[in-house]
Amino acid sequence: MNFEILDSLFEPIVIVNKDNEIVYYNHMFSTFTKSSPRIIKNKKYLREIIATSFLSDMVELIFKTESATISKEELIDSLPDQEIHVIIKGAFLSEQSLVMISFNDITIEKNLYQKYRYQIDELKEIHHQIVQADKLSTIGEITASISHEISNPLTIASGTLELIKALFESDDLNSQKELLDSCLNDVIESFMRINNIIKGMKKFLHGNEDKKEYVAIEEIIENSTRLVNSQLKKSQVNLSVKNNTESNESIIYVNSLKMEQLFINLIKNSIDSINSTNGESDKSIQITLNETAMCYEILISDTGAGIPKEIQDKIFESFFTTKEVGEGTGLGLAIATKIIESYQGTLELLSPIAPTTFKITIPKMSTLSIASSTLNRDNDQEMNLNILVIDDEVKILNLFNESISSNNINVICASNPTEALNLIDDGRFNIIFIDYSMPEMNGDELAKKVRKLNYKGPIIYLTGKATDSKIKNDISSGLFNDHLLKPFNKEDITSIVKKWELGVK
Amino acid sequence: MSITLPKIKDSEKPAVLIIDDEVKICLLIKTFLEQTKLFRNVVVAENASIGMLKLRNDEFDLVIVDFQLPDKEGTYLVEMAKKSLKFRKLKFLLISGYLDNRSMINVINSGIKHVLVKPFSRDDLISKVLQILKLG
Repeated sequence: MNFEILDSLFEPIVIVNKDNEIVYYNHMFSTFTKSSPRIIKNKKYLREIIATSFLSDMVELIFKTESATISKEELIDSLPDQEIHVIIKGAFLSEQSLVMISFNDITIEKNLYQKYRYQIDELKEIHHQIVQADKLSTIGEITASISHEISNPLTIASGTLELIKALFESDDLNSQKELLDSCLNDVIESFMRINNIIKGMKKFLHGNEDKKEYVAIEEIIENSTRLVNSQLKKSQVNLSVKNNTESNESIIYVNSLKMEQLFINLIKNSIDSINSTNGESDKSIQITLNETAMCYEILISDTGAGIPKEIQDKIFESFFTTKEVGEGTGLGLAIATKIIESYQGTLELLSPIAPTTFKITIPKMSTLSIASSTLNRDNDQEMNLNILVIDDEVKILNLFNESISSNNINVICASNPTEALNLIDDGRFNIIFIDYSMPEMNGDELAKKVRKLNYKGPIIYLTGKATDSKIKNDISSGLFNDHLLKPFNKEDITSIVKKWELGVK
Repeated sequence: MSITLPKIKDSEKPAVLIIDDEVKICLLIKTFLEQTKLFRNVVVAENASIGMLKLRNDEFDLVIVDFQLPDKEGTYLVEMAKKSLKFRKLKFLLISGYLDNRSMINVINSGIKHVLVKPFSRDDLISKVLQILKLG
C-alpha cells in the first residue's frame, strides 16, 4: 500500500508494526512531536519518541485483538516542552498486519473547556448564594408569624403544666387522674406542634438541595402551605386546593425542597398582592392540580390586585420588585423560574388580572426520567442497564433509585401500569420490576401485557408474600422470573440486579 | 400560689369574656381565672363575630382578646366596642405571640392599654387581670 497519500493530510499519523517499530509517518507527525525527520530516522521505535505507556499498551492491545478502532482521550506529557491533550485513534490494517495511529490535538479545546467550566462553577456558586439569600429573607419575612405560631402551643404547654402542678398539690390525686391524663396529652401535643414548625423551618433552610427524589405534588403543596399557614391566617386569606388528577399521588422526580421554595414564593406573592388591595371582598388563593398525557399542571390563582401591564414582562427578572426597600429581594419569581426549568418544566403568567393566575407545568415522572437518562447517557461502550420499576409507593421508587442508579444503570420509574406500558414500547429495558398489588391492575395482568409487547427480559415481582402458590406457578410458566420479598433493602436490590443483569439464561 | 388574692363580695365579682381561636388557650385561661373564685362569670368565644354576639348578650367587665383571630383582628373588635355607649366601662386585655411595628401601631391607635405576650404564666395572667380591674 502506498502510504505517501497520508502526507497530504493535516493530521499526525504514524504506522507501526508488531514490534513497535515505526514503519511510516507523515509530515504532520514530525511537526506534532516536534522532532525533525532526521531525529525520527535515528529512532527505531515509536516509544522512543512518545514515551507514554498507554500508547504502547494500546498498540499491543490492537495487535492482540485485531479489532478495528480504539479511540481514547489522553494527556501526552513526555514530549519536549509541552503537554498535549489528544484523542488517539488506532486502526488495525489487516492486510499488512500493521497499526495506524492518528492523533487529534484537542489541547486548545480542552483549555477552553476547562476555563468555561471554571467560570460556570463560579456562576453556579453565585447562584447558590443568591438562592440562599432569598430563602433567608423569606424566613425573615415569615418569622413574625412563625413566632406567633409557636407562642400558641407554648402557652398551652406552659399553662397546662401549671395546672398539673396545681393538681399535684391537691389532696386527692387519684380522682383527678383523667384530667391529669388529658393535661399531659395537651402538653405533648403542643410540643409536637412546636417541633414540627421548627423542623419545617430548618428543613427549608438547610436541606440537601441536590438530592432528587420521587415525591407527590400533593405532599409538596401540603408542606408549603403549612409554612405559610400563619401568614394566611393573619391576612385572613382562604387557601383551597383542588385536585383534578385521577390518583391522589401525582408523583414527580424533583428536589422537594426546591419545589417547596417555589410554591412558597408564589403563595407569598399572592398574599402580598391580596393585602395590597385593602378590600374587604373575597380574599382567596386557589391551587388547582390538573394532568395531561405528559405533564402535570398546577394553577395558582388569587383574588389580589393583579399585575399591571407595564411590568408583566419584568416580573420574572432578577431583582425586580414592586415591594418597598427591605421587604423583598426581587428574586422570588426569578428563582422560581430557575427551579422549575431545571426540571424541564415551565412557569407562566396565565392571567394578569383577577383572578391572577400562574401556571406551573412539570413533566410527569416517566417523561422526565427518560429525558434525564438520555442526557446522562455515557458514550463509552460499557454496558448500559436500563431498569424499569413500576410501583405506586414513592418510598420503593426512591429506594431503587438510591440503591442502584449510577453511570451505567438507568433507573426509570413509573407509578402506574398505563404509564409503564407506554414506556416499554421501545424495548430497551434489561430488567423490569413490577409491584404485585397495584390499584389499577394486578401484577400478573401487567406482566401478561408486558410479555404481549414482546419483552423477553426478566420480570421481577415485588411482593409481600413468598409462599403464594400462584407466584410459584407463574415463575414456572415463565410469566415472570423472580420475586423480591417486601420489605427489602439496598443490598437485596443490588444482588437481584446482579443476578439478572445479563438477561434470562 | 404566690399572689395574694383579694376578697370580693359576691355582688361585685366581675365577668370576663375570652376570645381566642385556639380553644385550648381559652379553656386554660378560663380554668386559671375560675380557680381564683374571684369571678362571677367566665365565657369563651373562638372568633370575633361570636365574641361580639356574646358581648351584646351579657354584661362583662373585661375582654381578653387574641390579636390574630380568624375573621377579624382583635383591635377591630375593640374599636367597634368603643363606639357603643354600653361598653364605655369595658376593659380590654390583648394577648399576642408577636407584634411587629405595624401591628403595634394598630394596637396603640385602637386604644388598647394592656397587652400580655404569649407565652404567659398563670401568675402573669392573674396579676395583670387584677391590675386592670383595679382589684386587690
